Amino acid sequence: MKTKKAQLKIMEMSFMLLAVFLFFVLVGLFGLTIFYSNLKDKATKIDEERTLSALSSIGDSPELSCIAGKSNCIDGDRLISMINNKKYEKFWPFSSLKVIKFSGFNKNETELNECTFANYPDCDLFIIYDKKVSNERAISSFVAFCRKEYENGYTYDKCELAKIIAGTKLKSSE
Amino acid sequence: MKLLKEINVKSKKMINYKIFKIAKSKHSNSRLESVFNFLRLPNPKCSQHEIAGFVLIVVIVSIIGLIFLSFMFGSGEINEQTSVEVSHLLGAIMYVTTDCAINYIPQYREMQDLIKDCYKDQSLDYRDCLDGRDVCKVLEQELKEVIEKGLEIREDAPNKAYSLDVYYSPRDETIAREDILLLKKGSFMNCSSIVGGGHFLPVSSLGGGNIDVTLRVCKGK
Repeated sequence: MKTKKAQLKIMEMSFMLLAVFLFFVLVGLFGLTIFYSNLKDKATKIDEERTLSALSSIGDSPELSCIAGKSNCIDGDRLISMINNKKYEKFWPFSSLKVIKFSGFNKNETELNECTFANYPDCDLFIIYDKKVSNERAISSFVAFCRKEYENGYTYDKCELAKIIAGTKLKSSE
Repeated sequence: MKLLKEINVKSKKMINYKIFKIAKSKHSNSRLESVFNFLRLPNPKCSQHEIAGFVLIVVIVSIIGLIFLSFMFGSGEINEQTSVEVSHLLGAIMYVTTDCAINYIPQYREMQDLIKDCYKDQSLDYRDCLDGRDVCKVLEQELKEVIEKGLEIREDAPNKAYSLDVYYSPRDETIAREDILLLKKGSFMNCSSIVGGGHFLPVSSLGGGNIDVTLRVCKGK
């Protein structure tokens, strides 16, 4: 009789332990789900920052960099000679590459005045190239945009804030 | 009351006895017997103890769970992260040419020069633009325009608010920092996240300390 009672107690204890164990497993799973969801967010952020770094490296590339040795700076006089240049489509890993001057900030796409040799520097948007892909994600970064100005018999660098916008083609699965 | 208790105990004993009899009479095998044994009602005091123990375990487990959850979510603070975008913005702003010339026209000062000039102006080495405007006023006006247009600060926009802090940090850490300029727009309440970046400018080549520029941006929901 006593043995049976003890067996019953052991059974109860084992059920209890099993329940407690299951509870902690569930809590652990819950915690892991949250942890991994944060990890995914961080991975996306790192990916975006890598693209941003690639964008800033464009600003420092010999084709566009400012003469004065300024980092993350685009030379407008070089940039105007590169607009609608098909050769650069394969040079940079982006589906489109544009630069918006400070005058073009907060303007709609239709309101932007596209830069040509005729209207430079009184314009807003430089289109270096655009492959016109349908499924595109654009990432922008701030750069300094400098050009030579002439006043009172002197030339000087006039710099302003600009945005460099790079488009990357999204995969069909995304 | 005593009588009621006695009746209760007796009735339980009777039920247990009857269950035992049924199990015996129906030529039950050992498994069936064990099931009936399990169904047998235990002593009331013993079961009270067990219930109390069970409740105690549940309470302890709940408290542990609550502590665990409060550690996970309880901090409630919005995490502040450094952003490449903000750092690039600050870096680019430093090169922006202002419309303030100090020596001659067209030697217009860059934003980074104007920050240094403003610091010197506050250190009693008064400097004004050639057109008579105060360098610090020009700096404030130009920085405000560039940041607010660059980041599109609006309550309904992705960037809800910003705060820009410009201060001098002496090399000797025991000396307090000197505030040069503080710009703010919008409220940092209900931000989904706060991103920030910094930039520093050496005051002189002799190692007199740095001017730090920090920008924090409140991202909307």
